[in-house]
Amino acid sequence: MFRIRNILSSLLCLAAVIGYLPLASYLGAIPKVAIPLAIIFAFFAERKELALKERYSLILSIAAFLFYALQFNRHNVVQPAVEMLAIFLAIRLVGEKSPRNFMQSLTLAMFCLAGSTLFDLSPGFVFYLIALLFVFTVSMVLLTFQSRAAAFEPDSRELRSIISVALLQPLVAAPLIIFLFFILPRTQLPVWHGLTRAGADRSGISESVKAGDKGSISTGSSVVFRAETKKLLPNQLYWRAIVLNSIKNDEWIRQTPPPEKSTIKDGKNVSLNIFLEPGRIPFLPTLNRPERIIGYRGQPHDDRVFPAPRLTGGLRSYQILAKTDATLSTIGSFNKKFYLQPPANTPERLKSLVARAVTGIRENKQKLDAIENIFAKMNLSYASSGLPTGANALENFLFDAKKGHCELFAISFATALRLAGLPSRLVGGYYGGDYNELAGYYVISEEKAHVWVEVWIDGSGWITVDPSRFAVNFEESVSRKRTDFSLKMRLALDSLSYYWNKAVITYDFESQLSAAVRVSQGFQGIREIRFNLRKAAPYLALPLLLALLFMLLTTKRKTPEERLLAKFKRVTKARYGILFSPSSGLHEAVAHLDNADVREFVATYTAAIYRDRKLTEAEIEQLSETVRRIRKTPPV
Amino acid sequence: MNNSNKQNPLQRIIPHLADSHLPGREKPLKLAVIALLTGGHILIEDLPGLGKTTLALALASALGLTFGRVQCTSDLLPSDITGLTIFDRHENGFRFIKGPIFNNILLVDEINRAMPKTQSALLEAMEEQRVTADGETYHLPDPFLVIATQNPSEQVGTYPLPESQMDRFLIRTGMGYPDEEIEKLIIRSGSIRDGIRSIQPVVDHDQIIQGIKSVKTGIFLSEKLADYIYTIVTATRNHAMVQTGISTRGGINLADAAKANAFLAGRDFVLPEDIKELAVPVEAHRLLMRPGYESIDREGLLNDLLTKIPIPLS
Repeated sequence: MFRIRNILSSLLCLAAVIGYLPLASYLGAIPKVAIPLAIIFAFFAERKELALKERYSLILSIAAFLFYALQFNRHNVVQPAVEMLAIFLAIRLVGEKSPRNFMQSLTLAMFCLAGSTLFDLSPGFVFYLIALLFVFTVSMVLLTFQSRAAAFEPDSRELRSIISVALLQPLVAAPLIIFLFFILPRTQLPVWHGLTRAGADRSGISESVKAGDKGSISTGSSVVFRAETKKLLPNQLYWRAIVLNSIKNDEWIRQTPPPEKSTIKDGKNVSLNIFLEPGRIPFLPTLNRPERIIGYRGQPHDDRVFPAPRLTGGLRSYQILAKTDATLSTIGSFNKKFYLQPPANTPERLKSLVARAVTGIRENKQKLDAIENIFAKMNLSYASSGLPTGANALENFLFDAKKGHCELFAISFATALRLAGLPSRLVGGYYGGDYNELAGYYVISEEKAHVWVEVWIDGSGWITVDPSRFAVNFEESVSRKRTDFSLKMRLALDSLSYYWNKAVITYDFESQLSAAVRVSQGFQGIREIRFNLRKAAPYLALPLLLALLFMLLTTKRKTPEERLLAKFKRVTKARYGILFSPSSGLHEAVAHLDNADVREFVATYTAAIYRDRKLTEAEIEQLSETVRRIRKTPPV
Repeated sequence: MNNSNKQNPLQRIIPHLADSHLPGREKPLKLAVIALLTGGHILIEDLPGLGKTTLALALASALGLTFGRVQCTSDLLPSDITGLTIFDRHENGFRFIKGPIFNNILLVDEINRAMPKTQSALLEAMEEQRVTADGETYHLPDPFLVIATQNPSEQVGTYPLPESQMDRFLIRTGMGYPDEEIEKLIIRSGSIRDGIRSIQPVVDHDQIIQGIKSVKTGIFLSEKLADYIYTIVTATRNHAMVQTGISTRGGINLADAAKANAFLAGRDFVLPEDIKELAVPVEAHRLLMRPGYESIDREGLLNDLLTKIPIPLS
């Protein structure tokens, strides 16, 4: 025997956990602690019948409402609202559990789960939603039992059948939910969190670079974007996002580049689909060298940088046409001086080193070779910790410490190039990425953020040079390999996020429209076929008739007695709510019913049946009349 | 409906007794009458002081039958029940003195206190309906009903009836405590043992014999219900916890008891309800459980089975 109350209480705790988990990390301290405590209390208090009195819950609720209403303002809308919901849930959990309160608590748990989507849209949501849906329906059915028959204590068999019937409902509803999924409009980013979250914290790249600045290089492992494409060579994996072209107070920043009619020559065509993770990104990442972004509505800059549209959340996926191993050249001339301005604070030793190396060399290409030679001989190594900082960071890096990260490499190299009179600029973006063989895409995380250099060589155009490659340990450190197994595991898990992104988040209104068009076209197609159907009807009818005949022959025909009994059972059940269990006799079933008609039917019917004789015509007539009377007479 | 059945005053005896003398005792009373009508015997398992003797006495009085009683002890001899042959000096010959068994209704109190030899003599007489002593066969009176009682709580110094012998009893039942109201009434009005002696018979001997005959031949058992009984019987045989299920005799007895029940209800045909009602008292004590399951409540097990077997309704 099970007490329905206890089951309901456990289910409510479960629902609260499901509502709380996805929301937990976005809650303030009070609700974050209050809900788990309330759940634990509710779980153990139910056995001892402890509960907060209704009026105290009311006072607490009002207090919570006032507390959060005061925090509510134009800039802070969602947070207080969601936290208030959470607190209400906690109060309901510790409060008395009338059926009404049960309902409220379940609904609050559902609201909490819904509230979490304002902060985050992760695949986990579907899991929580489905779990909560099942808990919800089972609870509703049990709740109905509790309010209609409080004393009812089902045994394990009954409970199993109740729960299985309850579980059937969400299963039946599932196709409808999927159908609605394709119809209803949806948001592509968490409405609240996506707009308010600071941009740089997720992209891993920054809009300015300065030697000796600590922390501008990112080491986070959260995914920035995924790129669906075929597998590329490692040296082709330069993901271009931003170009830093001028220097202000020793800091490399981006200014509007001078007009330049750039064109991309040679190289191999690559098409990629990029799926951005939610978060703000100032410039859309592309693959070096990007030809164009299909459907891009902004104005691409002349140096092949694509600023993200104003409402940055708007674009979550796009297709890029790019060329690998291509040269970026310019039709006509452009302001080369813009790319020659050297930093004010350049280490003297670097200046002299460069001056010595390039004296007498006139060809730009050879100058570049000479400078590359300097760096190759310097015996620098790549590191991401213990880096030189401060005003003399560059000198420190090149001549003393001899270790640094990509920013130091790029800044010093670009500085050297500018000293040698070669127009150059820094390119920020990402290098590398883990290829998911399973689904065919690259995962690029924050830690892949990288900075390299583009240098202008007359006759060749902008050439990509990655100075970090001069590091003696470049291969190990920049393109360092994870152990195969952990990488595979991570990528397999990532596939889930990828498909979620692809199928749910970026599934937009256009796709909905085109799906609708396809469906309506499908219907039109059916209308055309219908004419043919008419001709084919006889042929289709034949198997149908055969099937019908087969059914008629094989199904046991009901005797008049069986029909009469079925009618009697139906009517009596509808009228008096009598349940005819297969293991109880008719007299037994109607024993408690004081109704002359019902008694008469049962007596006459059983007298014939259990004497092993068929009902006579007159008896059938009479019994049918009795059943009609039962149906018409309302219960007293 | 058969008129002779409807008019038989046996049908009135249960309400008559229950109303005036044995309040709240319809069920054991009815089972005893059913045992009487089918020629079977009844074993009442319950604590002392719940009115077993009163029930037997009242039944005997109301039926106008003779009544005998044996209080079993461990030194009770078979001849203490059946009777013995003595030498009569006046007639100068041997004479058989009939024991208490030569009564229509015999109350055997605490049958498990008698030693097996005595038990077996009694059970044999119950089965054969006759006693053989010193080469002479004496027939027992007709009708003949043994009401045996057993105290389930006392086990010291007893010889519990072997499971195989349980089959000889048509019905095993308990008395149970009466309802609160009825028990208060009984306490207030005191024991009715004296009043019972003065109960006037409501039926005569012929009517009882007629009733027994009607049950045997005048009640129709539908083929469907024979199937139903068979389903119950086989279900016990196939049950995982049961070592030996209901025997064929058990099935026959259930059909007979159901017929008697129909007769008492004034019907000339058996309803599935008759069978369902009597299945537990008639069959539960015949189930022999597998080792490890001896303590399982056999009545509960049978009731559970009955809720799973569908009743033929058409």
